[in-house]
Parts: sequence; C-alpha cells; structure tokens
Amino acid sequence: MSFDLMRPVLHGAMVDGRFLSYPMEVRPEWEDFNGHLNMAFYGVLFDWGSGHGFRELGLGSPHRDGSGFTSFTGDFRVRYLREVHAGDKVRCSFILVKAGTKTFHFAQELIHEDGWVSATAETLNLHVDLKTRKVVPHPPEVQARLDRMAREHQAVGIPDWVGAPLGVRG
Amino acid sequence: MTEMISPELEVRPEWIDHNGHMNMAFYGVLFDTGVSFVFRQIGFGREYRETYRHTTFAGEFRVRYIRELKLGDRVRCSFRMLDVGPKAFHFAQELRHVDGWLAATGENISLHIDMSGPRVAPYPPHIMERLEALLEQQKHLPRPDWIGRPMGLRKEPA
Repeated sequence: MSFDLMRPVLHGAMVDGRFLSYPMEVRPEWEDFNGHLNMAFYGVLFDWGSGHGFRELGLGSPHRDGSGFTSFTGDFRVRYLREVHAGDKVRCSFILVKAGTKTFHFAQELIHEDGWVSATAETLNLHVDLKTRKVVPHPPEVQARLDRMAREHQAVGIPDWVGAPLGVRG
Repeated sequence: MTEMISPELEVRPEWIDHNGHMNMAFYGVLFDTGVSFVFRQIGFGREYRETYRHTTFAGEFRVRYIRELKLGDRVRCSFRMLDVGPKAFHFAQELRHVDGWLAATGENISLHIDMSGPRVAPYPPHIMERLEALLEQQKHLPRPDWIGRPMGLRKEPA
C-alpha cells in the first residue's frame, strides 16, 4: 500500500509560541536492527508533521484543491538527538525561517509527548507547477501568508541550530 | 578499491506519493540501504552489535534532491569518506540513476554508540584502522563541492 494512503490529516495548535501538529505514533515496521526508529523514517514523520503548516499557508493537497500547483522538497536535513521507539507519540513544530518568492525555508522539531526533542529538521520547499514540473512563484495569497507567518515566527525567535554547519565535532 | 558503489536498488510502489514521484523521506531508505555494504566492510552490523554491545546511529543526514525518481527507476548509491573522528565519521553519497544522471546527494554523520547508554563512544582500534584506511584510499577522489554548505535561500531557481 502506498504510504501516502496512511498519511494522517493533522491539525495544529499553538503551544508556547510554537505551531505544533497533533500527535503521530511511531510505527513498529519503522524500527531497524538497532530497535529504534530508523533514520529514514524520521523523514516520514517530518513530512506528515508539516501538514498543519502547509494548510495554514494555503498550500493544500493538489488533488484536493485543484490549484495545479504542488510542493517539492529541494533540500532536507535532520539532526538526530534522541531515539524514539515503536508506540511513542510525537508532535511536529512548524517554524518558518525565511520566505522567498518561489521557495521557503522551514524548520521543525520532532517532540516526544514527554516534552523532549527527538530530532530537528530543516527543509527548502519548492513551489512547483504540476504540469511543467518547474519551480514557479507562489500565488499572491500564499505569498501574503508566507510573509505574515515569517514575521510572526521571527518575533517568537528562530532556534539557534537552524543553519548550523554539518561535520564531525570533537 | 577506492570508489564504493552499491548494487542496483529499485524504487518501490509504496514510496510513490501524491506528486507521482518517490517521496522525499524514502530517499533516506535508499541512502541507508545503499551504504550498508560499506558499513559491513568496516565491520559494523548485527554481529558487531552482539559481540561488542556497540553500534552505529545516524547523527545527521542531509539530502539535496536534484531530479525526481519515478516508480521502477533503478539507482546505485556511492559512498565517499570525508572525515574521521574518534567517535564519528562524515561521508557523502550520490544516488545515481543507472542511466547516469544524478537523482540526489546525501551527506551523513555516523556516530559510534555504546548501547549501555546509549551514548557516543570511541571506536575500538581495529575499527579506527579501517576507517582511516578508507579515508586514505578515497582521499584522491574529487571532493564534492556541495558538502558542508548551510541550508537556506541563496539564489532562487530560475
């Protein structure tokens, strides 16, 4: 079965200044031989966990809204901080870092229900014309929402791990 | 042996999303599967875990999506050692379609883990030797120019 059919429709809520998704549960088939959530499947949780942010921006599913546009991921990065296991419940924050005219950079935290951060992610999102598969400008109402959300999230504060270099430390 | 390239891997139907292409998350599966042969050659895996009670965890992972992959596409994954530290190593990967074009790049930090923590722990000498040998063997290969770059909006695609 396409994993996309399993995609939950998540809503979000503001919690302590962060826009958080409703909880998702870690599936047992996503664990690897280390007995924890495999590194690749964090991507699934971050992808599903961004739905509330995208809806808030007016970027819904192409099949539902018939806009002729969709979103592609251009660049994606995860920092793995603390393992999660099958059955754990996690929520995803959505932090808009910077909005361009055809792309935007957002950051996320995967937060265990006990409050600790399991992982962080950063994504460069591309606005794409479904027919041509080319990156095209956001429609004006989406751009307005992006600009407004960027101002709001800047005011709350962008986490200091955003944009950090990747490399062996110590 | 310097260039390390995986056997062919195929894009599975479960990985195709509403955009009609392989979903961003499953590139991680291909990259992970694609380097397992290298990890085994270094000496990691189930047996290592059982014998030494140590294992490897991903510390960081970054994917740059270059060109879409579709159902049934066949790809190969390369491994290029970049840096070795006492408890972690940094490597780059390319996912290339069998026709030769670049689908995506990967950049990873792999951590050595003492499972009793779990906590990050130094490699034993025999593993350290192999990591350093691999670094040495590959150092003449071209160093990718896309590694270590910060993420974000620089120049928007035309």
